[in-house]
Amino acid sequence: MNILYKSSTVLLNKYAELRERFNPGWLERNKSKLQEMKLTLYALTTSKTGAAGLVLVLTTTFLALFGPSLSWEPYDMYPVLKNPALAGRLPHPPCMNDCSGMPLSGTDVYGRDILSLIMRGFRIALVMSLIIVVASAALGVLLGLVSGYFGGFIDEAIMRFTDMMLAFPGLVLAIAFSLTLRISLRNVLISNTALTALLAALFALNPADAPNIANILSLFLALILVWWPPYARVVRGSVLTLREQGFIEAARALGLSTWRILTKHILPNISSPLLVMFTFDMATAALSSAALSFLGLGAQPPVPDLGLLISMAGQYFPERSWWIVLEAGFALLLISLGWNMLGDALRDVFDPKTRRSIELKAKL
Amino acid sequence: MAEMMDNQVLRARGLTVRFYTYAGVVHAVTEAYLNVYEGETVAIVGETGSGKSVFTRALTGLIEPPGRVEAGSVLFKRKDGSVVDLAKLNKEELGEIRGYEIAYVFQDPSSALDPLYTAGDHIMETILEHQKVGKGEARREAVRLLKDVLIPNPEVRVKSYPHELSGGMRQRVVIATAIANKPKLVIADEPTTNLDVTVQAQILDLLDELRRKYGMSVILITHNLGVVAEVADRVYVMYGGRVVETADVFTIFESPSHPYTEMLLRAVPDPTRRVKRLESIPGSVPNLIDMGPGCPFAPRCPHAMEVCEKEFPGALQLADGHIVHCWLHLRR
Repeated sequence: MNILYKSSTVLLNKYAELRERFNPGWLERNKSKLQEMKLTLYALTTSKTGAAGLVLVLTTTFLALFGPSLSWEPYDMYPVLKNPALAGRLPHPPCMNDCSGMPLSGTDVYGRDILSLIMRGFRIALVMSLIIVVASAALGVLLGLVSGYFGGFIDEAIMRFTDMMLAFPGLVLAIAFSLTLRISLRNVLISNTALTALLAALFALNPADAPNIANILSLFLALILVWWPPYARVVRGSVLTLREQGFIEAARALGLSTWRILTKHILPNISSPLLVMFTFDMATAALSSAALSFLGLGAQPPVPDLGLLISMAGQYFPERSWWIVLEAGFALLLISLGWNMLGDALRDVFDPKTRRSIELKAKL
Repeated sequence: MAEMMDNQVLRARGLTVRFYTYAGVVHAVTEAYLNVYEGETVAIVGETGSGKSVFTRALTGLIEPPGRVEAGSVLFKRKDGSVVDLAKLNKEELGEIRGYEIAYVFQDPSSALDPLYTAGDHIMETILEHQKVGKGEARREAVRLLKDVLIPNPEVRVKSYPHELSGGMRQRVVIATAIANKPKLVIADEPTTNLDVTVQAQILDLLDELRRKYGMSVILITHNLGVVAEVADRVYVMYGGRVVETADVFTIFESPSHPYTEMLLRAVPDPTRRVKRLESIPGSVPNLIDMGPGCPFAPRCPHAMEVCEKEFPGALQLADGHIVHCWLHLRR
């Protein structure tokens, strides 16, 4: 009845077998961890929100991975240039029967197929939010750990700086950062072809379009800069409660190094609230970066960024571009809804109070 | 560097710890001293808030801000026979000594283990941090240690998580972790407070047996005088952050000389006598914030004199190893 659970346990068992083959005894040692993991998966997949979120996240991730190779049109070739006769009829609405060579899903103002663009848009949106969230979480966690564990002057300095960052409205600050970073990033990317090629491959863009890649880079660097303070706050708070626990004191009394205490005893113990926050932020980051490119800060045409597509449709809205907004907006909705639902379910699963009730319900 | 006797392990002198809080300066420990000799059990007795825990943590620099060790020296004879002053060592050097030569057993076994790691992981972690051995070797050692602390089925229990163990078992795991590197000194901070009475006795017996087996010294912090009579060789009585009396265990129980020790002993119920009402010491533990220079017990002491408020009495040796800080005896 539960395909998601079955397939994930099969995967998990395969993984365990693999570990066991390379490292005999691993299975025996990690038996209870494995059991707990399966229980978590079970709780997650039996809740409707969790299953729906998981499906959406898997779908959008799949599209982000393979969308650019599945999409049937290059994004940087404008059909209107090849076929000037189209000029008056663009953007072309979706057509059901009499298409005369125009795509089913409608086109944008340059005559490109919207659906093909959106397939590429998933990659940009997800890679962008992944980089933003991972980098800012890493920064925030590090600052929060140091701040909470060492306390005193260090804590005071880091936290006041965090307060300062939090006091600015995030998007406005990001706009300022991205505008200042842009020019210098452009120079860096033009002189550094290896970096440009790497970023182009990440976003599935043409490496020749260095200025646009610099625009995207400036956008997510700017978002990272405003994204970490909540992480630092949350981590610091958890560390403050955790460091008073007996086992942290015991670890210090046993002569463990500070680094080891932080990474082995504190970080794993705060990982579940972090994971939940991480999941929610994936959705918010995708929306924020789309919002900034909607405002014209990120990539410029022809980059198939979802926010940019919507922004470009704006001047023809609504009669001559409603399908662009609808389709690109729906893509964004899929991403943010999926991560939000997954985060919601994860929070229930990781909360010991609701977790037991989920497990009980699952057994009945 | 001051001398240490041949069979001495630890010699702390004039240790002063203060906490700088918003409410004022807390004089947690004032000029406390301590001698520990090889293979003996030393008990530190005192009420809650008498500074006994802070004192023993300060020995290896385990004081967190806003606390600070203000003064004092802690000479310690390491395993290789060299004598170091723990109060002067830096963090890395202290880290080498903690857990390897001086180990702690804390009060609350339920929180002393990280819920994410098994019993074996805790023991292995300490071994791997301080000794150059492989993981497999450390794991075998962990099983052996669990056997040492009388845990049934050590091969199975080594894989148990803390929530799968009872309170007594957890404390045994904590003790196994503490003795993992065969330290010279184990500091047990109220190791039996949260356990029920039968388990308490077992844990105390276990500590005593391990002490003999590995030739360790033990500092036992407690407010249970029954425990002291049972296992201690010598006793330090602390009050208000100061050592007020020290003697061997017989002298303390037979002829206590400080009024506080006397009253403390009288407050222990005697099962052979019928009493209507248990004796108690009038008043309560002093507030350690901004303490005056006098004897901290003066406000509750029935023999208090004028001088008691003004100055803390120096050490007076009544007999060999029996030292008391009281004007009553100094004036005589």
